[in-house]
Amino acid sequence: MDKITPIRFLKLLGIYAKIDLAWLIRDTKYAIAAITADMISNMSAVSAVFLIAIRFDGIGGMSSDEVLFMMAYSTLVTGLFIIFGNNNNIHVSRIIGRGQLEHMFIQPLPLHVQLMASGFGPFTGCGNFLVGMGLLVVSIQRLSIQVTPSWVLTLFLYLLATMTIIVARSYLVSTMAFYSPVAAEEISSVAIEGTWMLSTFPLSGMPRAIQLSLITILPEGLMAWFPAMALLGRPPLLGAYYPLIFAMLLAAVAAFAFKKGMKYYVTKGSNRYLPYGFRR
Amino acid sequence: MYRYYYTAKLSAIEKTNGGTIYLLPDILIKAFTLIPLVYLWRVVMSSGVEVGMTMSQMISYTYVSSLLSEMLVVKTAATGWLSEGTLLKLYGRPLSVLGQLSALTVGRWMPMLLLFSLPMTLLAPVFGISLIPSSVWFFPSLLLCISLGFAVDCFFACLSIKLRNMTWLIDRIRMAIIALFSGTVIPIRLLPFGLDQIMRFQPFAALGGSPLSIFVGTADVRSTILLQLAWNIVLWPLALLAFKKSQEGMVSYGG
Amino acid sequence: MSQKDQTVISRTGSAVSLKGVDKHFLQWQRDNHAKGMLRNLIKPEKKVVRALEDVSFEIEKGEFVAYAGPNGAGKSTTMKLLSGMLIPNAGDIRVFGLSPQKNRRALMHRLGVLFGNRTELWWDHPIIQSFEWKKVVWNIDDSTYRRNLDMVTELLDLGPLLKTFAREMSLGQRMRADLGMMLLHSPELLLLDEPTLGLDVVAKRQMIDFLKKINHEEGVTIMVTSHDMDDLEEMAERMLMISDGKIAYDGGFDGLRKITGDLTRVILSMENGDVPTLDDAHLISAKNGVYEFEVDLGQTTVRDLMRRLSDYDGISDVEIKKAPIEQVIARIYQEWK
Repeated sequence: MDKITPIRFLKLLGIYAKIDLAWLIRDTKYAIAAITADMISNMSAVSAVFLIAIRFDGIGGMSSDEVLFMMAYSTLVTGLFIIFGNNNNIHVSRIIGRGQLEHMFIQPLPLHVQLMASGFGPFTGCGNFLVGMGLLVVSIQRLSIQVTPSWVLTLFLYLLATMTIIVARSYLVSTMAFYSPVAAEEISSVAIEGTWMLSTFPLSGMPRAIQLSLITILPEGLMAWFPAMALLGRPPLLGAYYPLIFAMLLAAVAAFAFKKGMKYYVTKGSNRYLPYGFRR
Repeated sequence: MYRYYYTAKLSAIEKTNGGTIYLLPDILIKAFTLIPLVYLWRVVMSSGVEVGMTMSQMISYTYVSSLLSEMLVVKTAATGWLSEGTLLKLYGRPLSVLGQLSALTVGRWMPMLLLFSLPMTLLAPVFGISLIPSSVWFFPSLLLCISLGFAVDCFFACLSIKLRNMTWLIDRIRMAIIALFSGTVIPIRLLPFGLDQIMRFQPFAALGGSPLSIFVGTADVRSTILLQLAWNIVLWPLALLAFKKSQEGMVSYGG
Repeated sequence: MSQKDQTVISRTGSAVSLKGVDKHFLQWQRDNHAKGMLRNLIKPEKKVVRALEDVSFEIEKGEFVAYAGPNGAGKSTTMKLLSGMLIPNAGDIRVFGLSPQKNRRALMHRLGVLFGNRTELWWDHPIIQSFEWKKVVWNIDDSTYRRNLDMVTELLDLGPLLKTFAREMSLGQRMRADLGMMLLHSPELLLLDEPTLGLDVVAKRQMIDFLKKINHEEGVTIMVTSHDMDDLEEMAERMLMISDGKIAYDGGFDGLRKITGDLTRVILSMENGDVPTLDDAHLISAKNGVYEFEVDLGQTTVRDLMRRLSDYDGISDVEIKKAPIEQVIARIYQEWK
């Protein structure tokens, strides 16, 4: 049995990147349409908030340029989500609910390695990430932010925390698909994408109870608002390290629940198989 | 008619078959999105910038938009089903295909209307939100909006048939465009840079934004309904023609 | 077999072993009436489905075993248990001496699994891209990959298909490509669940010939399920039949015929419109002077049968053949019901 070394993992990422590039070259028309759809979809959400900020000259104490910075962060997160979540490996309830985990069982790799690597699509998924970088540069210039190495490291850590929260939330709700594959097949996309719009809301100026519930119960405030405020030097309630702690706790809970669900799955099995999505 | 009713009933029950508990995330998300959205508008509107709408009008607009979201922007199962090749199934039944699609769609609205919209309507006074329409013309406007929604959905379904592999892409683009252009998220009159004047006359504006504006009393009822009627008259014949032309594609889909 | 040393597969020892395996599932029951629906919301009614009950069998290396049974008998469940996708409620499962549940990863280097209604191919890519993906994920070394690629390309006639998108292939082509992909890591045991599902005569022929060839020449152990009994009889030497989760038969195909009586078909062509009658025989069909009888050789001998036929006037042709296995098994299924 082969060991999963960093080199082996990079090789796995490499084959998925190659497949992604091959798709872009071979099916250029569709690939470009996919990139466009991703970008339009994100721009629709962030531009709505930004247009409000322009019309009302800021939102709840955040200037329109600060709102733009927050939208840049949100777009970067969307970009990372698409780059690493290409084949329903983040919306894993689809794989579970459609009975497609069985495709993974026959691969001689640990399941978590397959799930981490199989969604990597850096070529067709990079659209929003690049737009996000562009918006970030513009907003940094307009806000005259001092970009130091520690600021960049902080940005990287917040992005990592945000991504961890997204994946952990998705896996946590996706465990329901182990128990009810039909009803919960789309639960991850409902939970993650259904609330995506909420993650673009600047929470500044809202009542404290709303802010608190949106960084704890439904952590949409940690998707863009909290990290953006912290990066702007005004970390909101609970302190600058809060998103990192929350990410770790949620990941632990999700891992526990997912393992429990897996145990149930291999005991009960799935009599459902749907040839949709990336699997036919 | 009973056959369509029964189809709609099955479609409604289908959503709850796995247990109503699995609808809970959907309901909670809708509620959790609505409440901060209401507060977002409170924060925004308290800035004092004059936009031709009061805060209470804006909040009612947002609230009703959320309660009736599935009706304000109709989405049938047609586009999704095409990729599964199961639209074919509808042709095997002694009922009209469009009629079945409508029945299935209306059926799918019911669980959320019952489990989300109804309780939220009852809770509205708690949030200090008025749910009394400022004009009875809201109801015909809502009907025209639903009717136009089916026509628009029909167009997108036909586009999916034509472009085959791109069903989900079309769906994403469509949802993004409609969210912005229909006025269900931001009222069109609030758009900056003079966009409000340009956007008023495009067909998507005759969807959700129109009945909502009549509901809160910020729209001229006559011109709004006339515009909705005009778009219905223009788009329905074209939608039916497109549907007819796409029939072969639907049936032969999947080889 | 390790990937580096593929040429000789040991043909002795156990490939698959099941001892007292039980597998149960819970199935939710749903009512159609309002009262029942309400009751189900509060306390859902569940039914225990016994997919496998005390199942034991052994498959030696190099065997070609057909695994048959009516719908819902437990065939796919067995395949999933063997490939580590499910855990049994009781009993012991070994594949090459290893537990599939504990050693799934190690076993997947030695197993090939194919479900006829699914594909492992990447839908929006040419076949060769899927093969290359498999090389990386299975960590197949260059020489093994090259050798196996050449072999499957030649034997399965994949040459013209390597650059074709999976989505653009016919079912037969897709199955050939799936089979080829399955063999790239030189599996020692193939678990094939309905591999001939939906294939036309030519595609089926190609698949059967190929499987027989790799079983005979490479010593690959094969366990295959199918509802097409004629296919199974042609491919396998041994038949395992499962019914209601229990092994109902384990042996050769001729032995299976004896269960329903040693049924044989006698076809008589008559010259002058005579209608033949045969004692102890059951007339099955009569068309254009050709009469087909079913005879139980447990009740009469071939010699006696031939003697009686030779006494008959007006017979222009006689044909004696085994009863089709399809019909033998249909009769067995009926009896089980």
